[in-house]
Amino acid sequence: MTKSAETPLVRAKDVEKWFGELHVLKGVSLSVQRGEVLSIIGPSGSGKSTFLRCINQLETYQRGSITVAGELIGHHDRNGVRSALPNRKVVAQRRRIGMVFQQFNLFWHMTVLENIIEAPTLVLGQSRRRAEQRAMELLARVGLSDKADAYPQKLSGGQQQRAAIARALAMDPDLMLFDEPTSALDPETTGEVLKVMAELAQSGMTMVIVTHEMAFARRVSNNVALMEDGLVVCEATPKAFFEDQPHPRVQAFLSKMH
Amino acid sequence: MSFDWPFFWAQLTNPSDLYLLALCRTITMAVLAMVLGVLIGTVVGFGRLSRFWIIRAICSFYVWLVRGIPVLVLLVFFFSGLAAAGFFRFSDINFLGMRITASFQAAVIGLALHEGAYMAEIVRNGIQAVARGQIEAAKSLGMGTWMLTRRIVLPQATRVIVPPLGNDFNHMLKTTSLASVIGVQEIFQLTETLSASTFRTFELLIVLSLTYLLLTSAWNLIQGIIETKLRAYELDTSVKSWTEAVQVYLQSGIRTSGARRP
Repeated sequence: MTKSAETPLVRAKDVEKWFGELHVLKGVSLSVQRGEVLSIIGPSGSGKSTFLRCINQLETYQRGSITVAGELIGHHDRNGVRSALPNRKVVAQRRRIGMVFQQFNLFWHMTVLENIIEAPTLVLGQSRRRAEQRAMELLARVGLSDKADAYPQKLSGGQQQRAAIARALAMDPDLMLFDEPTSALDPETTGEVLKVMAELAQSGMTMVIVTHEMAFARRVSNNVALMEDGLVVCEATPKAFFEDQPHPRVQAFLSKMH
Repeated sequence: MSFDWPFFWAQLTNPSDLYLLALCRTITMAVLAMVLGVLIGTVVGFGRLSRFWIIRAICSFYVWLVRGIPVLVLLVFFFSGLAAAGFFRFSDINFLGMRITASFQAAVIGLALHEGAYMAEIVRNGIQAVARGQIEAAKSLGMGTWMLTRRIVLPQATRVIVPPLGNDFNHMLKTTSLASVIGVQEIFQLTETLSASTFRTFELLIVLSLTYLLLTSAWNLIQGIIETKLRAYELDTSVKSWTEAVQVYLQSGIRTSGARRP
């Protein structure tokens, strides 16, 4: 795929982060064009989830920059002087970014439908009627039309994760982040979640996916990146990444996976 | 030994207006003190988790202080102690045609402050029981601090808070009897007065005990219904309304046990 001249929707440049003394991101640079899918793979502790969480400010980063649709995430930058964004701005920036978690994190005191309409009605001010209508469309899309009134606890892991995807989509995000969305699932239900994600990628959603599902990453991604020890070791198209010119570190990582 | 059955039955089945009025005082005192105590406890419970050390320190000090002093001493302190020192003297007030006595006010304040300290710990525990992932999910959906506190943290914490809160209210119903010491005419004090004039001490104390049992049993029922409603998420039947909660509770006989979370 040729690099388009269009500015990327997500552009991370030399992002660095410390947890106290621990240097977890050591200069991560990645970018995602609108409508593209980037998969990030790598061993646990490589910083891939932390990087993803920096994009919607569940974590802060100390150096470098992340921009989404041209807007600097998490910081003001006035003439090179950087200051943290006020909470109000942080909240506003997050609205355009959907996130799907490893542990689903559906609100357990609400039904599936209530989970989905919560943010559209309260944050975006949609009418309940409209939000419910949209929620039912999304539930149909993820194959959960009959579970609208069920509480999360009554659903399987795969169903919960599909509901969580519908909940994030209800905010009409520009970008969807997936933090190991199938790592807490058994193999049977993993497939149903991956199918929903593949359809979402097909529909043109911009996605950043942290995953261990190699076959899936290879199939749906425009680019695959390997992170190790807080750095991007290799970023390439799936074909180049997995077949053509396997980077020695990629080879080493992939051989450990099998 | 003789047990005056006719007297006992008369007291039990046809209580005097004086006794019913005293019962009203007992219930009102317990409810007011509990409501105030829950409010204090909620503020202090959040305060103990504040970002600012000074707020945490003040709240911790309050909990430490009040939990270390007997309720009886607190009540006497508020009613007599403050007045004796010339700081503050409660006086009777008229409210909607009812006379609210100074001792009643002091009792409500003392009981509420005492309850507030215990509630603060219960509330803090409830807030801390809310999983991090729930808050992160709310943040990722663009919810601000106040919205996620109101819509996610408080409702989830409530499920953890309600069982011990109900337990505290059960205590509160009985602890009101201490207000007799500062002169509130509630059911215990009235019983004492009546037994001094009738010498039917044993009979009257049994009537009194049955009255407290009636109060706590009624509360058990109410608490069970509230918990059934709050536990809708883990029940097999749909419990949307309070009417349904009453039905489900009465049918399944769900006992008031600790709230379970997934």
